[in-house]
Amino acid sequence: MRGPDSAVRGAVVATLRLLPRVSRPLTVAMGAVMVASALVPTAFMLVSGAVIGTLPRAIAAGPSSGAADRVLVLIALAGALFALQQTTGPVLQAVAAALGRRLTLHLRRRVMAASVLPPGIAHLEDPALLDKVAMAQGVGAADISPRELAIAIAMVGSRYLAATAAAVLLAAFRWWLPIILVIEYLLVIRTFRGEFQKSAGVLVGKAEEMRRSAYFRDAALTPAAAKEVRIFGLGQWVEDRFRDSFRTAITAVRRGRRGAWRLMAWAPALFFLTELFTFVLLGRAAVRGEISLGQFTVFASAAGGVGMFASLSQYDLFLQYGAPSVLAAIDLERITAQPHIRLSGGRSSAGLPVHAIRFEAVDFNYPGQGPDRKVLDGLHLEIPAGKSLAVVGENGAGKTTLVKLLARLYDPTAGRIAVDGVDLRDLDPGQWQQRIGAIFQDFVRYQLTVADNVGFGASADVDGDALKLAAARAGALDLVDGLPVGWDTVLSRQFSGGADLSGGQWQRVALARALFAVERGAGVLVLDEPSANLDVRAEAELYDRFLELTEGLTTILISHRFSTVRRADRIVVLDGGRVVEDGSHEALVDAGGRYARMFGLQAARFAP
Amino acid sequence: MTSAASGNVTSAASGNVTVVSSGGARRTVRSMVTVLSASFRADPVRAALNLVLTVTAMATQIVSALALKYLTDAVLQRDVGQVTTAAAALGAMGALGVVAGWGQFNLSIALRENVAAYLDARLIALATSVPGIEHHERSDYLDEIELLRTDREALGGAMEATVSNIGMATQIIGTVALLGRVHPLLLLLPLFGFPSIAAGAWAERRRQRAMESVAEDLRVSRHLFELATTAGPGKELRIFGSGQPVIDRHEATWTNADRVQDRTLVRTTAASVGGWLVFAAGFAGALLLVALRVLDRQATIGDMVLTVTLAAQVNQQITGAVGMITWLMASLKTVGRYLWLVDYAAAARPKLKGGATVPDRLVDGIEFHDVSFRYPNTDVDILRDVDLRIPAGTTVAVVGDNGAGKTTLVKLLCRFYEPTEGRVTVDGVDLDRLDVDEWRRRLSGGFQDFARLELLAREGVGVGDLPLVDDGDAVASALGRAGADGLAESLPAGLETQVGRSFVDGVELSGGQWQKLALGRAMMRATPLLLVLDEPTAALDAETEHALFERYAGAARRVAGGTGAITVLVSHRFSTVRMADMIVVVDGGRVVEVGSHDDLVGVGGLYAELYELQARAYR
Repeated sequence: MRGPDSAVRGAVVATLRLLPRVSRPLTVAMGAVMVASALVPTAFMLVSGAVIGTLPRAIAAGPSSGAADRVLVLIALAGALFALQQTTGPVLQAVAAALGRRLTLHLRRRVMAASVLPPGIAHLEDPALLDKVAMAQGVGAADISPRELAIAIAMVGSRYLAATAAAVLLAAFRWWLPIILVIEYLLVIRTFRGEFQKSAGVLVGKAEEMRRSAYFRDAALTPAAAKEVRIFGLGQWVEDRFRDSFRTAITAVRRGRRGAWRLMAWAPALFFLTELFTFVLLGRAAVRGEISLGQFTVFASAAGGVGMFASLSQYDLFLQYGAPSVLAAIDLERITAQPHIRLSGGRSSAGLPVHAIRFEAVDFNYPGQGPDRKVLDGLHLEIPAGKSLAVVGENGAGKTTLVKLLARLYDPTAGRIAVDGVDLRDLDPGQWQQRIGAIFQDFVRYQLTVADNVGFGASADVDGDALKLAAARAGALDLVDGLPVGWDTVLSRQFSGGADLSGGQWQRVALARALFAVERGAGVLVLDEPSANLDVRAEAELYDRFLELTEGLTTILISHRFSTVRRADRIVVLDGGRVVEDGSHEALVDAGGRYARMFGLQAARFAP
Repeated sequence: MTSAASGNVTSAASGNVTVVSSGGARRTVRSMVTVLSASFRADPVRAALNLVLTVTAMATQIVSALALKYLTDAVLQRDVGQVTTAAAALGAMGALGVVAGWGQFNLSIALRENVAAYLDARLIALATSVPGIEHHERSDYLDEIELLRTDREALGGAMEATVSNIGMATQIIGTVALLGRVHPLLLLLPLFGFPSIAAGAWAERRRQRAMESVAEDLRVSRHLFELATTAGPGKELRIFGSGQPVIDRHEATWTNADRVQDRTLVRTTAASVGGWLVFAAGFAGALLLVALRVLDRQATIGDMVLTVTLAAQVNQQITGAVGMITWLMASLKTVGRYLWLVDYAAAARPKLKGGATVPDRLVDGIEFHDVSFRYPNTDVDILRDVDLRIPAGTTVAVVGDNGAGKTTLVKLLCRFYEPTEGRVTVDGVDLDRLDVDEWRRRLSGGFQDFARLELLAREGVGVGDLPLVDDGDAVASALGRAGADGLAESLPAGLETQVGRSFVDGVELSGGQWQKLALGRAMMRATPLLLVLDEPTAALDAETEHALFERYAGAARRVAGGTGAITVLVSHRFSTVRMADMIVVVDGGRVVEVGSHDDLVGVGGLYAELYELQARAYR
């Protein structure tokens, strides 16, 4: 097993290798400024040493001597070097920040592609993978963004370069002196950092408990639980739970850090002896005349400069906590490139289905859940092309899962789904998904313009008429016309000029999106609770127009509302992951089974 | 951990935000006092030690410079004894510097964590102490709180920056005093640092402005990133083939924001380089001045060494000060938001109008007298002149189109908002004279947008009556009342199952299962005076909703004799609505019809029309 130190080193190396791919010019610039920021102070040390060294002769020779002039020239040079040194700092920060922002974008792009390009969605429900997504954004123990990581590399890197330059300088005095100092400093700092990494490891192990404390904090600060917190008087309780979780998490972290304090017992003594030894050595050499005063000054500053090997700043922490984000992004790509996530299949699905979609003995359980928790259990179902099918059943009967499998967001655990006799697994998954238009219960509310909300996915050719047509069919045209800037209105109050929609209005927009996909050639329409947020009038309007909307399409409707369900050509009742009843509304009512009972009960409620 | 260069300080883009004004010395002082006192309250020992160690670490550098001067002079005088003494002093300062520096480093991490936790707890207390929910619904307030939540690490950073600035000030005073001994003119050296400090402050303001101007771009980027990496939206992105467009759009908005930030970066870097050149000129001048005096034999070579070392230290200090001031400015914005919340919470606490007590049982009922309501900062009445009497012991259904004002009626009853005009009375006593917490102790409710509390299933239900949160039997019986007897069996560890995806051992629930938890929660309190059910059952099938309500209404009627409890139900399902004792029809913010189902169908108004729309589906 690799130690924490080498893990961080690996992550830093991976980042360094990545930077030129992110931006070659900025990487080169950053490298150049780093080297300059290390060499200029060294040059300054030499020149100021020369000033001190020349002074005794100049004093002896008098103010207008050549030596005195030399002092003044050297001081001018020192001033110039100093000015140069001052500018490298801000420039290095700026270059690193610009590069860091690009690194962030680069990682985000890769994470997004790795997440969204696989046709299935099972990987997005894997907590380990989601952790990596968060980590690649620097979200985690310390919230260090890749941008801060780049700045840290610049800062820590230039510090080590400067310290190395100082060590080289000092070697001119006694070649073995900087070697001893560097080894000593590195050993001490390694121990120190090691202690920290240990505790960072503890923090990662306890991240769950930290997350819990964050969860309670967010419960108080975000709107989601605002009503419950007040109705049930949960304020104090939430605060207490936050404190408890934080304490549990932090206690373990602190235990891991204690070693850092033990270091205090011996490190200062070591430092005292080292500096005493170095300066006595230097001082005596100068007193004996073995080195000149100027050399003495240079070596004394260089000895101080080597000390930078033993310093630790916030940037070291940024490096330590931030570097793993790069590895996380790379890991994520590797994981999602695996065939079982990329899903196979290359046959064209253009124009399918012509005849029918068949579920043949399909079993399904969600990944990570035991095989005894089957959501679909030997499901047989034929969905004829160009007809509408309503699926009813209790919550948890497997209705939405059926649709997810049909859209190949998951592959069945057992059995197969065939489209016109071809196994769905043999079809090109992306192309098949384009054959489908859908509105889900948890449809997406894009914080973008209405035009994007309806037309997203059609960026290649969003044509205004097709948008209008889809909106009109979804009953959303009046709504769009009523917005401040029509189709260009952003649907979020968080944007200037943006507008908020009600739940029902959102649902019409989402329906328009599904119908827009149909305009563009999708032949399968999925309606998963399309009227849940609609009021009575809007719902009535929808079911009045159901036949018109679904004409010629292979439609799968999931709904609790019989008003719409009964309009479907065929209805199946799902229970325990299989079909228990199957037929037209009239046939099922006549059969007197479960559907008839459900419908009858409701109908009775409306009896005069 | 927050850096000086932290890039996530964004600000609300909307113009009408009254919240944070970065200017104002008074506000800055209040902010610094706030963070300092917070750190002393959160962890007094570490806070004090931190301050002492910060100053100590900085003092060692000054003493080191002095020791170096004596070392140089000793070398010139060939005094081996003094060489050893000066070297020992340097060694001692080195060791002390290590102890103080590392100690401070280590300490400040723990301190920052504790301060962050302390302030988090304060934030929780502040946010939840506000009786209303305006700050959770109004978009500009939402923005502020969201920024406070995401940038709250900066609060700990502000504390550290303040402490560092104090240490820095001490150090500059010490350094300047020493320089003044060499020559009084050198006292002026720190003045050359002012352009740098000013440039730093200007640059930070520029940067914040740039961040504000790209805030919307970054928000879109975050939104798109979120869409691409979460499973729920993932369904649609795949079906509509919008994965690649989402990636492209993200790239475009991010790059756009990058361009703006690059431009700002070039300008601010130029400004700070300019500032540093001024300081470099001052530095060169100081060297020249001392060199001339040394040549005149009015100063020693040791003084020259001292000047070079100290001037370099002044440089470090000013670099540090620029960094810290930038950091402080960035974090003060967040502290400003925090102070805004402090003030908002204090102002929002209801003025006590006179201690009326919440009755044990309702005798008369609840009454709306000419109640009008509009959301703060808007100009549309959501409710207008509502007069409504709900007799004790009744079950009321509220119906109407979306946006008619049904939910607002419920919000006023829960006192999430106070009426803009008119008053609500409970048994004749003004609702706003009752203590809001006591009133809520006798309420219970379930909402359409119920919270998905990622706790143990038992806790998610049990918090409906906190004293019973650990009482498994009470929870089981509440679930029974909510028609969710089977829920526990369907979870792997029964009621002790962690629910929700946020935690590793968490089990994700279906929409219906979440709803059952929320309903169970609403049923926890055994004898509420008022139960509000605002479409909590929209995701359930009609029959389940009906059965549930039937069972509940039956129970309510039985206990109504005891407590006179009122149940208010908002639903679109007329099969359920018609069972209510009393139906209130809301349209355009007004109550347009009130009566029993039979009455209202007989009247042939809006209710009859809506009922007919739904009923014909069953014929």
